[in-house]
Amino acid sequence: MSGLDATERTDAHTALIHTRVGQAVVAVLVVVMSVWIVGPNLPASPARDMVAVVWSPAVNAGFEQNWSVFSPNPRAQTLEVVAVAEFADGTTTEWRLPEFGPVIGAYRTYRWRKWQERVRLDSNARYWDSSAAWIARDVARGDELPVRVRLLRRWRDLEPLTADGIADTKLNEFEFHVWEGADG
Amino acid sequence: MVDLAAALLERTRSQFDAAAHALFLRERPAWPVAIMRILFGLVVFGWTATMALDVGGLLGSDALVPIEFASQGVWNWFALESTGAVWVAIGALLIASVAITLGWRPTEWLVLTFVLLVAVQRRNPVILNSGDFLLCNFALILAFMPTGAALSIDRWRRHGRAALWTAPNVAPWGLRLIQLQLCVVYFFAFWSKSGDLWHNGTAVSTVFRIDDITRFGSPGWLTNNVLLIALLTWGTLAIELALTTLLWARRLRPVLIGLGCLLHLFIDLFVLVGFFGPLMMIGLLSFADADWLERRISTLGA
Repeated sequence: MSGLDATERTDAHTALIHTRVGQAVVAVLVVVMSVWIVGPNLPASPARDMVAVVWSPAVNAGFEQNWSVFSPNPRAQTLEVVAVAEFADGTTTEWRLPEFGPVIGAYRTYRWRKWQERVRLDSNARYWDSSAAWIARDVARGDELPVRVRLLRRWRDLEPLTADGIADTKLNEFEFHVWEGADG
Repeated sequence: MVDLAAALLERTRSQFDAAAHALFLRERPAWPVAIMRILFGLVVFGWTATMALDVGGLLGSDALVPIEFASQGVWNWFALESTGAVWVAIGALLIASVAITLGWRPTEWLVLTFVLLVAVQRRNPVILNSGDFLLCNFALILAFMPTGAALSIDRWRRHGRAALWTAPNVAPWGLRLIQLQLCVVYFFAFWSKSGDLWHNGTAVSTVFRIDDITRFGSPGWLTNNVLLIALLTWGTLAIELALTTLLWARRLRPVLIGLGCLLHLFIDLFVLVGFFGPLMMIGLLSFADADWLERRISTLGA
């Protein structure tokens, strides 16, 4: 059944359009929301900077727009962040990102991999010490923390596909941060 | 001459009024809105449940990213500064997701969901992806739609159990906002793919070889196939552009909704993109023909 029967009242959203004032409210809402949806996506330009104040409240409130996926090109590296924890007795443990399986667990895995993708960058150095400290707690043997945690980024450049196939590339490794424990 | 101009102006104005009326005010059966609400509620539940399993590592007081690195927006609804506060937010989101799915006062719960999602996401901005932003935006935009008008506890309570399988006609203006959001996502996803790998038809090979975002590892049989990769690369661009523009053409809509869903299912099969794919497919439902759904569901109920 569509339409209303004798006992049915229309919903509040639909009731709005049955009055002139309501229609005016809807018009304002639609215009404002449309600007909030389209505006933040406009390419960077002096003109955009001048009018950004119109949608900045929406962005600040959490209504964000950024849909640049695999662009302008996909990332041409496959990467991994690992940590090597050294204990006072000289033994070491390698810490890797947790994996939770390819189906439902993939939604969890992806969040950790996002951390990995961003924390490796020099521009995110502010996260390194706290991340290493967290890893130290994660690999602790009971109350014994490692004396040192070395953060390593490993990556392999991805050559583009050509008619002759894909060229092999070597695995690179770089130590980008060392965390020293209280006794280190 | 002046009379002719005035007549033309009047005709244009009346055509514009009619188009605006049809687009924003002409009421349609509430089925698409109700189905979107149910699926969105399930996605919020999945998002929150998977997040709950990593509160200690990603959101708590002693998480990988400490509280001082939480992003601070101008309108910071409330900062989640302790593990207890995070659990309260997660618990409220789980309750909200169930209420939205079942259709119990969904508008209120959708607004609360938006606020809580922003709070949780701002606690750890390092782990976010496009799907997380889309989740927030859909929560807010769905609040502008009569999502509880059909297939809901609200309808059952007001009109009895028999009314559960019927849908009233509702205003479509909120639906237009989610359609706009969807088209904007597709357009700027297309627009931003300006690199040479997209132009020369090899980008998908690179995407599927980024081991840290693949679901089952890199599919070698696919990444080395020049012709298939070119088809997939340019096909992606073509579908994204078509979903921006041709989706508004009624006749092409069913095919494009199908193509869009296939695109997202294919991406989700190989690549981790969080909840972006499921949300975009829910968004595509906003273009479903409400009258067609009405006829199908009436036939099923008969």
